[in-house]
Amino acid sequence: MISLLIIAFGVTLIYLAVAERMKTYNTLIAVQGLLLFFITFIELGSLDVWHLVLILLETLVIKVIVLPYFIHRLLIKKGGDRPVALVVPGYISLTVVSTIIFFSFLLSYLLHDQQIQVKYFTGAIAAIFTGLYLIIVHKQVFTHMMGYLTIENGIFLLSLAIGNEMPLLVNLAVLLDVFSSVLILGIFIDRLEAFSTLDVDQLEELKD
Amino acid sequence: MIPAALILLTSLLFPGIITKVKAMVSGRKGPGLLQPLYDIYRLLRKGNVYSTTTSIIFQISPVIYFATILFSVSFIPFGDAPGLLSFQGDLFLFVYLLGLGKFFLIINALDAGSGFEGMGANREALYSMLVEPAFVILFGTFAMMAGYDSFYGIFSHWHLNSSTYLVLSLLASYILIQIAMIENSRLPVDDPKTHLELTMVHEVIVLDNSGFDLGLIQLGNAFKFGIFGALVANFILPEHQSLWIRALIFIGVIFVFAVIVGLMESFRARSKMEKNPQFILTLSSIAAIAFLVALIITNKLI
Repeated sequence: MISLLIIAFGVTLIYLAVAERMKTYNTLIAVQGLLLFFITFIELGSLDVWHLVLILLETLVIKVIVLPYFIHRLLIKKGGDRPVALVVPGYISLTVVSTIIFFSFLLSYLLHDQQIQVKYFTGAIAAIFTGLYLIIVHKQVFTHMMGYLTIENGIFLLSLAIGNEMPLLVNLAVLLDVFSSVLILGIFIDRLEAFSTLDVDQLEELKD
Repeated sequence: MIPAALILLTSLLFPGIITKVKAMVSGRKGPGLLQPLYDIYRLLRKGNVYSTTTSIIFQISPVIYFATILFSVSFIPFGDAPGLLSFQGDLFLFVYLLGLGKFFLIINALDAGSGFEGMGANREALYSMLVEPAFVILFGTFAMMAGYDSFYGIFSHWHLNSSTYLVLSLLASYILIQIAMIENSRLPVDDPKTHLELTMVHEVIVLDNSGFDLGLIQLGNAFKFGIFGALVANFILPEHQSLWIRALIFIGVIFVFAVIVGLMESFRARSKMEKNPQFILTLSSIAAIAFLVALIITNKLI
Protein backbone atom coordinates (compact mmCIF):
# COMPACT_ATOMS: atom_id res chain seq x y z
CA MET A 1 0.00 0.00 0.00
CA ILE A 2 2.83 2.36 0.92
CA SER A 3 4.53 1.63 -2.42
CA LEU A 4 1.36 2.61 -4.26
CA LEU A 5 1.29 5.94 -2.40
CA ILE A 6 5.00 6.55 -3.03
CA ILE A 7 4.54 5.74 -6.74
CA ALA A 8 1.60 8.14 -6.85
CA PHE A 9 3.76 10.78 -5.16
CA GLY A 10 6.45 10.28 -7.82
CA VAL A 11 3.83 10.50 -10.56
CA THR A 12 2.61 13.86 -9.19
CA LEU A 13 6.21 15.12 -9.39
CA ILE A 14 6.39 14.07 -13.04
CA TYR A 15 3.09 15.74 -13.83
CA LEU A 16 4.28 18.89 -12.00
CA ALA A 17 7.14 19.05 -14.48
CA VAL A 18 4.80 19.12 -17.48
CA ALA A 19 1.86 21.02 -15.97
CA GLU A 20 0.82 24.01 -18.00
CA ARG A 21 -2.06 25.62 -16.16
CA MET A 22 -2.06 27.27 -12.75
CA LYS A 23 -5.04 25.19 -11.67
CA THR A 24 -3.16 21.96 -12.48
CA TYR A 25 -0.30 23.00 -10.19
CA ASN A 26 -2.72 23.78 -7.40
CA THR A 27 -4.53 20.44 -7.77
CA LEU A 28 -1.29 18.48 -7.91
CA ILE A 29 -0.01 20.12 -4.72
CA ALA A 30 -3.30 19.30 -3.00
CA VAL A 31 -3.07 15.68 -4.19
CA GLN A 32 0.46 15.51 -2.79
CA GLY A 33 -0.88 16.70 0.57
CA LEU A 34 -3.52 13.98 0.51
CA LEU A 35 -0.94 11.31 -0.34
CA LEU A 36 1.29 12.55 2.49
CA PHE A 37 -1.62 12.27 4.89
CA PHE A 38 -2.25 8.63 3.94
CA ILE A 39 1.46 7.81 4.09
CA THR A 40 1.78 9.25 7.61
CA PHE A 41 -1.46 7.67 8.69
CA ILE A 42 -0.31 4.19 7.68
CA GLU A 43 3.29 4.61 8.77
CA LEU A 44 2.64 6.11 12.17
CA GLY A 45 -0.12 3.78 13.27
CA SER A 46 0.69 3.85 16.97
CA LEU A 47 0.55 7.50 17.89
CA ASP A 48 -1.10 9.30 20.75
CA VAL A 49 -4.23 11.21 19.91
CA TRP A 50 -2.81 14.73 20.09
CA HIS A 51 0.08 13.96 17.82
CA LEU A 52 -2.28 12.38 15.32
CA VAL A 53 -4.62 15.37 15.46
CA LEU A 54 -1.68 17.67 14.79
CA ILE A 55 -0.57 15.68 11.74
CA LEU A 56 -4.15 15.56 10.55
CA LEU A 57 -4.32 19.31 10.92
CA GLU A 58 -1.05 19.81 9.11
CA THR A 59 -1.64 17.53 6.13
CA LEU A 60 -5.34 17.16 5.62
CA VAL A 61 -6.62 20.53 6.77
CA ILE A 62 -3.82 22.88 5.80
CA LYS A 63 -2.19 21.18 2.83
CA VAL A 64 -5.32 19.79 1.20
CA ILE A 65 -7.96 22.36 2.08
CA VAL A 66 -6.69 25.70 3.36
CA LEU A 67 -3.69 26.38 1.11
CA PRO A 68 -5.26 25.20 -2.17
CA TYR A 69 -8.41 27.19 -1.36
CA PHE A 70 -6.35 30.27 -0.58
CA ILE A 71 -4.42 29.91 -3.85
CA HIS A 72 -7.65 29.24 -5.72
CA ARG A 73 -9.13 32.48 -4.40
CA LEU A 74 -5.96 34.30 -5.34
CA LEU A 75 -6.15 32.90 -8.89
CA ILE A 76 -9.76 33.96 -9.29
CA LYS A 77 -8.86 37.43 -8.07
CA LYS A 78 -6.02 37.63 -10.58
CA GLY A 79 -8.27 36.69 -13.49
CA GLY A 80 -8.83 32.97 -13.24
CA ASP A 81 -6.94 29.96 -14.49
CA ARG A 82 -4.26 30.86 -17.01
CA PRO A 83 -1.53 28.93 -18.77
CA VAL A 84 1.89 29.27 -17.17
CA ALA A 85 4.59 30.60 -19.44
CA LEU A 86 6.98 27.70 -19.97
CA VAL A 87 10.54 28.85 -20.50
CA VAL A 88 11.90 25.32 -20.94
CA PRO A 89 10.03 22.89 -23.24
CA GLY A 90 7.96 20.32 -21.38
CA TYR A 91 9.87 17.27 -22.49
CA ILE A 92 13.17 18.71 -21.23
CA SER A 93 11.60 19.36 -17.81
CA LEU A 94 10.30 15.82 -17.92
CA THR A 95 13.73 14.39 -18.62
CA VAL A 96 15.28 16.52 -15.88
CA VAL A 97 12.70 15.49 -13.28
CA SER A 98 13.05 11.81 -14.26
CA THR A 99 16.81 12.14 -13.85
CA ILE A 100 16.28 13.82 -10.47
CA ILE A 101 14.11 10.91 -9.33
CA PHE A 102 16.64 8.40 -10.59
CA PHE A 103 19.59 10.11 -8.89
CA SER A 104 17.76 10.59 -5.62
CA PHE A 105 17.12 6.85 -5.70
CA LEU A 106 20.80 6.15 -6.31
CA LEU A 107 21.75 8.60 -3.56
CA SER A 108 19.46 7.10 -0.97
CA TYR A 109 20.59 3.62 -1.93
CA LEU A 110 24.26 4.45 -1.77
CA LEU A 111 23.93 6.11 1.65
CA HIS A 112 22.97 2.69 2.94
CA ASP A 113 22.16 3.78 6.45
CA GLN A 114 20.13 1.65 8.81
CA GLN A 115 18.19 4.70 9.97
CA ILE A 116 17.15 5.75 6.47
CA GLN A 117 14.14 4.20 4.77
CA VAL A 118 14.98 4.13 1.08
CA LYS A 119 11.52 4.70 -0.38
CA TYR A 120 10.68 7.76 1.71
CA PHE A 121 14.14 9.19 1.32
CA THR A 122 13.95 8.84 -2.48
CA GLY A 123 10.57 10.55 -2.60
CA ALA A 124 11.70 13.30 -0.24
CA ILE A 125 14.95 14.17 -2.03
CA ALA A 126 13.21 13.96 -5.41
CA ALA A 127 10.48 16.34 -4.24
CA ILE A 128 12.99 18.82 -2.81
CA PHE A 129 15.04 18.93 -6.00
CA THR A 130 11.97 19.02 -8.24
CA GLY A 131 10.76 22.03 -6.24
CA LEU A 132 14.12 23.75 -6.71
CA TYR A 133 14.01 22.95 -10.42
CA LEU A 134 10.47 24.38 -10.73
CA ILE A 135 11.63 27.59 -9.07
CA ILE A 136 14.66 27.86 -11.36
CA VAL A 137 12.96 27.31 -14.71
CA HIS A 138 9.78 29.28 -14.24
CA LYS A 139 9.56 33.00 -14.46
CA GLN A 140 6.37 33.65 -12.57
CA VAL A 141 5.83 34.37 -8.90
CA PHE A 142 2.98 31.87 -8.83
CA THR A 143 5.08 28.91 -9.95
CA HIS A 144 7.82 29.94 -7.53
CA MET A 145 5.27 29.51 -4.77
CA MET A 146 4.33 26.09 -6.15
CA GLY A 147 7.98 25.05 -6.22
CA TYR A 148 8.28 26.20 -2.63
CA LEU A 149 5.30 24.08 -1.60
CA THR A 150 6.78 21.06 -3.38
CA ILE A 151 10.00 21.51 -1.40
CA GLU A 152 7.94 21.69 1.78
CA ASN A 153 6.18 18.42 0.93
CA GLY A 154 9.61 16.89 0.37
CA ILE A 155 10.79 18.05 3.79
CA PHE A 156 7.67 16.60 5.37
CA LEU A 157 8.43 13.24 3.73
CA LEU A 158 12.06 13.55 4.80
CA SER A 159 11.02 13.76 8.45
CA LEU A 160 9.30 10.41 7.90
CA ALA A 161 12.33 8.89 6.20
CA ILE A 162 14.65 9.42 9.11
CA GLY A 163 13.66 7.79 12.37
CA ASN A 164 10.47 6.14 13.34
CA GLU A 165 8.52 9.07 14.66
CA MET A 166 7.87 12.56 13.43
CA PRO A 167 9.99 15.16 15.15
CA LEU A 168 7.19 17.38 16.34
CA LEU A 169 9.17 20.54 16.67
CA VAL A 170 10.63 20.31 13.14
CA ASN A 171 7.18 19.81 11.74
CA LEU A 172 5.74 22.78 13.57
CA ALA A 173 8.57 25.00 12.43
CA VAL A 174 8.17 23.94 8.81
CA LEU A 175 4.44 24.43 8.99
CA LEU A 176 4.81 27.93 10.36
CA ASP A 177 7.37 28.71 7.67
CA VAL A 178 5.12 27.60 4.87
CA PHE A 179 2.10 29.32 6.26
CA SER A 180 3.83 32.65 6.58
CA SER A 181 5.56 32.34 3.21
CA VAL A 182 2.34 31.55 1.38
CA LEU A 183 0.68 34.47 3.11
CA ILE A 184 3.54 36.79 2.23
CA LEU A 185 3.69 35.58 -1.37
CA GLY A 186 -0.10 35.87 -1.57
CA ILE A 187 0.02 39.47 -0.44
CA PHE A 188 2.97 40.02 -2.78
CA ILE A 189 1.05 38.65 -5.75
CA ASP A 190 -1.92 40.72 -4.71
CA ARG A 191 0.16 43.91 -4.49
CA LEU A 192 1.65 43.31 -7.93
CA GLU A 193 -1.67 44.32 -9.36
CA ALA A 194 -0.26 47.65 -10.46
CA PHE A 195 1.97 45.86 -12.95
CA SER A 196 -0.80 43.53 -14.15
CA THR A 197 1.77 40.77 -14.60
CA LEU A 198 3.34 38.04 -12.53
CA ASP A 199 6.30 37.59 -14.83
CA VAL A 200 9.56 38.02 -12.96
CA ASP A 201 11.31 39.52 -15.98
CA GLN A 202 8.77 42.31 -16.20
CA LEU A 203 9.37 43.18 -12.56
CA GLU A 204 12.73 44.64 -13.49
CA GLU A 205 10.84 47.80 -14.31
CA LEU A 206 10.40 48.24 -10.58
CA LYS A 207 13.88 49.72 -10.23
CA ASP A 208 14.48 53.44 -10.33
CA MET B 1 -3.86 -22.33 -29.58
CA ILE B 2 -6.67 -21.06 -27.38
CA PRO B 3 -5.07 -17.73 -26.40
CA ALA B 4 -4.31 -16.76 -29.99
CA ALA B 5 -7.82 -17.72 -31.11
CA LEU B 6 -9.37 -15.78 -28.20
CA ILE B 7 -7.28 -12.69 -28.91
CA LEU B 8 -8.13 -12.74 -32.61
CA LEU B 9 -11.85 -13.31 -32.00
CA THR B 10 -12.24 -10.66 -29.30
CA SER B 11 -10.20 -8.07 -31.16
CA LEU B 12 -12.55 -8.38 -34.15
CA LEU B 13 -15.27 -6.81 -32.01
CA PHE B 14 -12.94 -4.19 -30.53
CA PRO B 15 -13.47 -1.34 -33.05
CA GLY B 16 -17.23 -1.99 -33.00
CA ILE B 17 -17.42 -1.63 -29.20
CA ILE B 18 -15.37 1.59 -29.26
CA THR B 19 -17.61 3.16 -31.93
CA LYS B 20 -20.74 2.03 -30.11
CA VAL B 21 -19.60 3.48 -26.77
CA LYS B 22 -18.63 6.77 -28.40
CA ALA B 23 -22.01 6.95 -30.14
CA MET B 24 -23.94 6.16 -26.96
CA VAL B 25 -22.02 8.74 -24.91
CA SER B 26 -22.76 11.45 -27.46
CA GLY B 27 -26.44 10.46 -27.50
CA ARG B 28 -26.59 8.68 -30.84
CA LYS B 29 -27.65 5.16 -31.61
CA GLY B 30 -24.53 4.44 -33.61
CA PRO B 31 -23.76 1.65 -36.05
CA GLY B 32 -23.97 -2.00 -35.03
CA LEU B 33 -21.14 -3.83 -33.30
CA LEU B 34 -20.22 -5.65 -36.51
CA GLN B 35 -20.16 -2.60 -38.79
CA PRO B 36 -16.33 -2.18 -38.77
CA LEU B 37 -16.08 -5.88 -39.65
CA TYR B 38 -18.44 -5.44 -42.61
CA ASP B 39 -16.30 -2.51 -43.74
CA ILE B 40 -13.14 -4.61 -43.55
CA TYR B 41 -14.89 -7.49 -45.37
CA ARG B 42 -15.99 -5.13 -48.15
CA LEU B 43 -12.44 -3.81 -48.48
CA LEU B 44 -10.95 -7.32 -48.53
CA ARG B 45 -13.16 -8.28 -51.48
CA LYS B 46 -11.97 -5.34 -53.56
CA GLY B 47 -8.91 -5.16 -55.76
CA ASN B 48 -5.99 -2.78 -55.26
CA VAL B 49 -5.29 0.41 -57.13
CA TYR B 50 -1.57 1.21 -57.35
CA SER B 51 -0.24 4.58 -58.33
CA THR B 52 2.33 4.53 -61.16
CA THR B 53 4.89 6.25 -58.91
CA THR B 54 4.92 3.41 -56.38
CA SER B 55 7.27 0.44 -56.37
CA ILE B 56 7.14 -3.11 -55.07
CA ILE B 57 7.58 -1.82 -51.49
CA PHE B 58 4.16 -0.24 -51.58
CA GLN B 59 2.65 -3.56 -52.61
CA ILE B 60 4.32 -5.80 -50.03
CA SER B 61 4.24 -3.46 -47.01
CA PRO B 62 0.59 -3.99 -45.94
CA VAL B 63 1.03 -7.77 -46.07
CA ILE B 64 4.23 -7.61 -44.00
CA TYR B 65 2.56 -5.26 -41.51
CA PHE B 66 -0.32 -7.70 -41.08
CA ALA B 67 2.03 -10.68 -40.85
CA THR B 68 4.15 -9.11 -38.08
CA ILE B 69 1.03 -8.47 -36.02
CA LEU B 70 -0.24 -12.01 -36.51
CA PHE B 71 3.19 -13.31 -35.55
CA SER B 72 3.31 -11.21 -32.37
CA VAL B 73 -0.12 -12.52 -31.31
CA SER B 74 1.44 -15.99 -31.03
CA PHE B 75 3.69 -14.90 -28.13
CA ILE B 76 0.90 -13.81 -25.81
CA PRO B 77 0.25 -16.44 -23.12
CA PHE B 78 -3.03 -17.10 -21.37
CA GLY B 79 -2.45 -16.96 -17.63
CA ASP B 80 -0.32 -20.00 -16.86
CA ALA B 81 -0.79 -21.58 -20.30
CA PRO B 82 1.94 -20.61 -22.79
CA GLY B 83 1.21 -18.98 -26.12
CA LEU B 84 1.75 -20.67 -29.48
CA LEU B 85 5.42 -19.76 -29.34
CA SER B 86 7.38 -19.20 -26.18
CA PHE B 87 11.11 -18.98 -25.58
CA GLN B 88 13.62 -16.97 -23.55
CA GLY B 89 13.59 -13.36 -24.69
CA ASP B 90 10.44 -13.52 -26.82
CA LEU B 91 9.54 -10.26 -25.12
CA PHE B 92 12.15 -8.41 -27.16
CA LEU B 93 11.24 -10.18 -30.40
CA PHE B 94 7.67 -9.01 -29.76
CA VAL B 95 8.81 -5.37 -29.44
CA TYR B 96 10.95 -5.60 -32.57
CA LEU B 97 8.19 -7.31 -34.55
CA LEU B 98 5.81 -4.45 -33.80
CA GLY B 99 8.66 -2.10 -34.73
CA LEU B 100 9.22 -3.94 -38.01
CA GLY B 101 5.52 -3.63 -38.85
CA LYS B 102 5.64 0.10 -38.13
CA PHE B 103 8.78 0.42 -40.26
CA PHE B 104 7.11 -1.16 -43.27
CA LEU B 105 4.04 1.02 -42.80
CA ILE B 106 6.33 4.06 -42.76
CA ILE B 107 8.27 3.16 -45.92
CA ASN B 108 4.92 2.29 -47.47
CA ALA B 109 3.92 5.91 -46.90
CA LEU B 110 7.25 7.29 -48.15
CA ASP B 111 7.03 5.14 -51.30
CA ALA B 112 3.77 6.78 -52.32
CA GLY B 113 5.71 10.00 -52.78
CA SER B 114 3.07 12.30 -51.35
CA GLY B 115 4.19 15.23 -49.21
CA PHE B 116 1.42 14.64 -46.70
CA GLU B 117 2.38 11.01 -46.28
CA GLY B 118 6.01 11.90 -45.69
CA MET B 119 4.90 14.23 -42.91
CA GLY B 120 2.65 11.59 -41.36
CA ALA B 121 5.41 8.98 -41.59
CA ASN B 122 7.73 11.38 -39.81
CA ARG B 123 5.29 11.78 -36.92
CA GLU B 124 4.47 8.09 -36.72
CA ALA B 125 8.18 7.24 -36.55
CA LEU B 126 8.73 9.77 -33.75
CA TYR B 127 5.81 8.56 -31.65
CA SER B 128 6.64 4.86 -32.02
CA MET B 129 10.23 5.62 -31.12
CA LEU B 130 9.16 7.46 -27.98
CA VAL B 131 6.63 4.87 -26.84
CA GLU B 132 9.04 1.94 -27.06
CA PRO B 133 11.09 2.80 -23.92
CA ALA B 134 7.91 2.84 -21.81
CA PHE B 135 7.01 -0.69 -22.93
CA VAL B 136 10.53 -2.08 -22.58
CA ILE B 137 11.12 -0.49 -19.14
CA LEU B 138 7.75 -1.80 -17.92
CA PHE B 139 8.34 -5.37 -19.07
CA GLY B 140 12.01 -5.21 -18.09
CA THR B 141 10.81 -4.46 -14.55
CA PHE B 142 8.50 -7.47 -14.59
CA ALA B 143 11.19 -9.69 -16.08
CA MET B 144 13.48 -8.62 -13.24
CA MET B 145 10.85 -9.38 -10.62
CA ALA B 146 9.92 -12.75 -12.10
CA GLY B 147 13.43 -13.76 -13.11
CA TYR B 148 12.29 -14.76 -16.63
CA ASP B 149 12.41 -12.80 -19.84
CA SER B 150 9.62 -14.45 -21.76
CA PHE B 151 5.95 -13.46 -21.59
CA TYR B 152 5.03 -16.90 -20.35
CA GLY B 153 7.72 -16.84 -17.65
CA ILE B 154 6.59 -13.44 -16.42
CA PHE B 155 2.88 -14.15 -16.35
CA SER B 156 3.13 -17.65 -14.90
CA HIS B 157 5.07 -16.18 -11.95
CA TRP B 158 2.72 -13.27 -11.49
CA HIS B 159 0.83 -13.77 -8.23
CA LEU B 160 -1.93 -11.37 -7.45
CA ASN B 161 -2.05 -12.34 -3.78
CA SER B 162 0.59 -9.86 -2.59
CA SER B 163 -0.10 -6.14 -2.53
CA THR B 164 3.13 -5.37 -4.37
CA TYR B 165 2.02 -7.30 -7.41
CA LEU B 166 -1.41 -5.69 -7.21
CA VAL B 167 0.12 -2.21 -7.21
CA LEU B 168 2.35 -3.05 -10.17
CA SER B 169 -0.61 -4.63 -12.02
CA LEU B 170 -2.59 -1.41 -11.65
CA LEU B 171 0.34 0.66 -12.86
CA ALA B 172 0.99 -1.72 -15.75
CA SER B 173 -2.67 -1.60 -16.82
CA TYR B 174 -2.60 2.21 -16.80
CA ILE B 175 0.60 2.37 -18.87
CA LEU B 176 -0.48 -0.41 -21.26
CA ILE B 177 -3.82 1.26 -21.99
CA GLN B 178 -2.01 4.52 -22.81
CA ILE B 179 0.54 2.67 -24.95
CA ALA B 180 -2.28 0.92 -26.80
CA MET B 181 -3.89 4.30 -27.49
CA ILE B 182 -0.63 5.67 -28.90
CA GLU B 183 0.32 2.53 -30.85
CA ASN B 184 -3.11 2.46 -32.47
CA SER B 185 -3.07 6.18 -33.21
CA ARG B 186 -6.08 7.13 -31.12
CA LEU B 187 -6.71 10.19 -28.92
CA PRO B 188 -4.97 12.21 -27.52
CA VAL B 189 -2.01 11.69 -29.84
CA ASP B 190 -3.94 11.18 -33.05
CA ASP B 191 -7.59 11.52 -33.97
CA PRO B 192 -8.91 8.73 -36.23
CA LYS B 193 -11.85 10.93 -37.24
CA THR B 194 -9.89 13.89 -38.52
CA HIS B 195 -10.44 14.87 -42.16
CA LEU B 196 -7.56 17.28 -42.61
CA GLU B 197 -4.40 15.68 -43.95
CA LEU B 198 -2.20 18.25 -42.21
CA THR B 199 -3.29 17.07 -38.76
CA MET B 200 -3.37 13.33 -39.44
CA VAL B 201 -0.77 10.88 -38.21
CA HIS B 202 -1.85 7.33 -38.95
CA GLU B 203 -4.69 8.07 -41.37
CA VAL B 204 -2.46 10.00 -43.73
CA ILE B 205 0.02 7.14 -43.94
CA VAL B 206 -2.57 4.82 -45.42
CA LEU B 207 -4.07 7.51 -47.66
CA ASP B 208 -2.86 5.86 -50.86
CA ASN B 209 -3.67 2.30 -49.83
CA SER B 210 -6.91 0.92 -51.13
CA GLY B 211 -8.98 -2.24 -51.32
CA PHE B 212 -7.40 -5.41 -50.00
CA ASP B 213 -4.29 -3.63 -48.65
CA LEU B 214 -6.34 -1.11 -46.67
CA GLY B 215 -8.50 -3.93 -45.33
CA LEU B 216 -5.39 -5.77 -44.10
CA ILE B 217 -4.07 -2.64 -42.37
CA GLN B 218 -7.40 -2.02 -40.63
CA LEU B 219 -7.66 -5.64 -39.56
CA GLY B 220 -4.09 -5.45 -38.27
CA ASN B 221 -4.95 -2.37 -36.21
CA ALA B 222 -7.88 -4.20 -34.60
CA PHE B 223 -5.60 -7.15 -33.75
CA LYS B 224 -3.06 -4.77 -32.24
CA PHE B 225 -5.70 -3.49 -29.82
CA GLY B 226 -6.49 -7.10 -29.01
CA ILE B 227 -2.82 -7.80 -28.23
CA PHE B 228 -2.58 -4.98 -25.71
CA GLY B 229 -5.95 -5.93 -24.22
CA ALA B 230 -4.65 -9.49 -23.81
CA LEU B 231 -1.52 -8.22 -22.07
CA VAL B 232 -3.66 -6.25 -19.59
CA ALA B 233 -5.91 -9.28 -19.11
CA ASN B 234 -2.91 -11.48 -18.33
CA PHE B 235 -2.06 -9.29 -15.34
CA ILE B 236 -5.53 -9.82 -13.91
CA LEU B 237 -6.25 -13.49 -14.76
CA PRO B 238 -6.46 -15.60 -11.59
CA GLU B 239 -4.50 -18.83 -11.29
CA HIS B 240 -5.88 -22.31 -10.67
CA GLN B 241 -9.25 -21.73 -12.29
CA SER B 242 -10.89 -23.77 -14.99
CA LEU B 243 -10.31 -22.76 -18.58
CA TRP B 244 -13.86 -21.55 -19.12
CA ILE B 245 -13.84 -19.18 -16.16
CA ARG B 246 -10.53 -17.73 -17.28
CA ALA B 247 -11.78 -17.37 -20.84
CA LEU B 248 -14.85 -15.52 -19.54
CA ILE B 249 -12.68 -13.22 -17.41
CA PHE B 250 -10.42 -12.65 -20.42
CA ILE B 251 -13.35 -11.66 -22.64
CA GLY B 252 -14.69 -9.46 -19.85
CA VAL B 253 -11.36 -7.65 -19.47
CA ILE B 254 -11.12 -7.06 -23.24
CA PHE B 255 -14.69 -5.73 -23.23
CA VAL B 256 -14.00 -3.37 -20.30
CA PHE B 257 -10.78 -2.28 -22.02
CA ALA B 258 -12.70 -1.40 -25.20
CA VAL B 259 -15.32 0.50 -23.17
CA ILE B 260 -12.56 2.43 -21.34
CA VAL B 261 -10.96 3.36 -24.67
CA GLY B 262 -14.35 4.50 -25.98
CA LEU B 263 -15.02 6.60 -22.86
CA MET B 264 -11.52 8.10 -22.93
CA GLU B 265 -12.01 9.09 -26.54
CA SER B 266 -15.39 10.64 -25.80
CA PHE B 267 -14.19 12.91 -23.01
CA ARG B 268 -10.76 13.80 -24.24
CA ALA B 269 -9.58 16.36 -26.73
CA ARG B 270 -6.68 15.81 -29.02
CA SER B 271 -3.53 17.50 -27.76
CA LYS B 272 -1.44 19.88 -29.81
CA MET B 273 1.04 18.16 -32.11
CA GLU B 274 3.98 19.72 -30.23
CA LYS B 275 2.70 18.42 -26.88
CA ASN B 276 2.65 14.78 -28.01
CA PRO B 277 6.32 13.89 -27.41
CA GLN B 278 6.12 15.11 -23.83
CA PHE B 279 2.88 13.19 -23.25
CA ILE B 280 4.48 9.98 -24.51
CA LEU B 281 7.70 10.56 -22.56
CA THR B 282 5.63 10.95 -19.38
CA LEU B 283 4.66 7.28 -19.74
CA SER B 284 8.34 6.28 -19.87
CA SER B 285 9.00 8.31 -16.72
CA ILE B 286 6.14 6.61 -14.89
CA ALA B 287 7.44 3.22 -16.02
CA ALA B 288 10.87 4.22 -14.71
CA ILE B 289 9.33 4.99 -11.30
CA ALA B 290 7.79 1.52 -11.31
CA PHE B 291 11.24 0.14 -12.10
CA LEU B 292 12.78 1.99 -9.13
CA VAL B 293 10.03 0.83 -6.77
CA ALA B 294 10.53 -2.75 -7.98
CA LEU B 295 14.26 -2.36 -7.30
CA ILE B 296 13.53 -1.21 -3.75
CA ILE B 297 11.04 -4.00 -3.12
CA THR B 298 13.15 -6.82 -4.49
CA ASN B 299 16.39 -5.41 -3.02
CA LYS B 300 18.20 -5.94 -6.30
CA LEU B 301 20.80 -3.36 -7.18
CA ILE B 302 23.93 -3.97 -9.19
